[in-house]
Amino acid sequence: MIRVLAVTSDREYTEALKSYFNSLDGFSARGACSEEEGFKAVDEGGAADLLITEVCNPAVNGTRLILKLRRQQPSLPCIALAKHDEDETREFLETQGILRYLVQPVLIEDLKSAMDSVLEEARSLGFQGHLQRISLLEIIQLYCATGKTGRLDIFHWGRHGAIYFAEGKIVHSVQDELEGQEAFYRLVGWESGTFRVEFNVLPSVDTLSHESWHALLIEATRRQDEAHASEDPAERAPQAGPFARPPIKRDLPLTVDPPDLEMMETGSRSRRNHAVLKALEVNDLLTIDGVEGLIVADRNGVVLQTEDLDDSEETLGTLTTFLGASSEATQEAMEANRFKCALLVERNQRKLLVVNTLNFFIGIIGSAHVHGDQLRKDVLECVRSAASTRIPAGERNKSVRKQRTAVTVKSKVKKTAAMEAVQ
Amino acid sequence: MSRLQLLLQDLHAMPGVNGAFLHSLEGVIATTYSDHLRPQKVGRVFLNVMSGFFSLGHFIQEIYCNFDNSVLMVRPVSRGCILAAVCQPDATSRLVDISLAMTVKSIEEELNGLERLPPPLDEQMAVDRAEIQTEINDREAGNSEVNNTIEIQSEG
Repeated sequence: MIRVLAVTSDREYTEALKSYFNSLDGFSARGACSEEEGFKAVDEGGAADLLITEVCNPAVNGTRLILKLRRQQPSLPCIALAKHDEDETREFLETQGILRYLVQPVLIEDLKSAMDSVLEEARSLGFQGHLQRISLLEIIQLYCATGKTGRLDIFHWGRHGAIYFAEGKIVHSVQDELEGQEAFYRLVGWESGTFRVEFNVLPSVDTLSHESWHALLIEATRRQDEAHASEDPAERAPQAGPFARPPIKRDLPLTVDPPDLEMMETGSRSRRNHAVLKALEVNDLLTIDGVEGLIVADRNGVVLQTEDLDDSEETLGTLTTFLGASSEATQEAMEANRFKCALLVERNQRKLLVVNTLNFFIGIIGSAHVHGDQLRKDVLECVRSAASTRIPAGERNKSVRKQRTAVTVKSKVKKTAAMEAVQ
Repeated sequence: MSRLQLLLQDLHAMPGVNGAFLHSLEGVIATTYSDHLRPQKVGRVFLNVMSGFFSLGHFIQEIYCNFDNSVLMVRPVSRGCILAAVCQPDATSRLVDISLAMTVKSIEEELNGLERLPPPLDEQMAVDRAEIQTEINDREAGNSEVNNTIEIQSEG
């Protein structure tokens, strides 16, 4: 049953719309004659699947109604009815998701065809909505790792941007007047908003396919870190909102040494692996009964090390981070201080165990024959003993700060040198 | 109390189980918690996890999530729902596992018999509030009629 909410200032017109939709098979309609009545109808009678509202009318603030209802239902299909064609309102509304803008008087055939097309568009959407405390970077990784083609639209306080994917590659990005890398870095810096994905849409230009998505994400993370490092920590507001990244706990007992961040960002694959291996020293995990493979991914899903894996390492890296970050995101609601590990058992009894460490998620692939409980105990014991042989926590934190500062200073020096060269 | 609610209460009665909830695609439809907002946050996240893995061809049977002070066990149920139990860290996981499996079976039987899934609790509460308000309004209207009658009689 499709629930229609019709909001117009004219009670008779509202009633006519209501009776029309109620006469259609599979539709039920409610009516309202003001913005307040519209909210009340949703509050009391439940969400709507299609909103038809007047806009540019002093009696009904349809634009505000659409924006407010979309905070709860980002993909709510809407039909805006305007007395006059106002370009500004039309352009604004058309950037706000699935919407058809009709100028009155509206023929019933036009209304029907607009309704069919918005509902069809809503049905064809992939992932949509807002994910609480899961970063936009993680959503991007999921689409890259799964080889998707389409457009990811991001909405943030009335602003809009888009990232285009072609078979898992990031090919174009746009945000206002910006295009390419600058638009991409601006978008991933947004810490709140809503998103939707439309599959099989390709851009008219290609500004990003020459860069690998790993490189783009690493650079985006570096820029974010730099931006955060330059803020005064005392004044920094806690992150909140749908795209906020989960806070990284600094005092975890289950920690490992920080790897050489500079080398991980700029070094070759083998040098990177060496840096991570040196930092983690968790290869003993591979000797545990039932462990088939191991993957170490950072909190942005970038794979840093893999051992003995048959499956695509990028997909597993993304899944590891996805499960780890999702579990971590429930920490607050679970009234817990720390997420330790998550074990996922598939129907074929294969297992993915994700262990949370200071900087990384370690994903362990377990075979079908090993019991999940046993696997978890053995792995946690192994990681714990590796961590306990590390330097003391106070020293470790100093070392992290030193390395981070070194990375920031080095990148600033590079930037200054580049600017001087240009001048 | 609904049958779904009773099934969750039975699960809650198991040693080591602190609470349980059933989350549909739309929201929490049954819970042993007095506040349904916290289960709703957790439920949404794990529904996303399930759908994310499913889209990559991984069929999940169960998820165990260990926190420092609790363990969350999540299992998929028919019609796009998930059942989650929050346990103490020292709970006997195999015992809870068996109870969860039995509860999932009973819930699936119950859900398969329903034409439509029950609405999320926040919607149910909104409906309850509206009904209470209507009743209050009716009573007030009734009282004013009685007062009017009394006034007319006294004038007469």
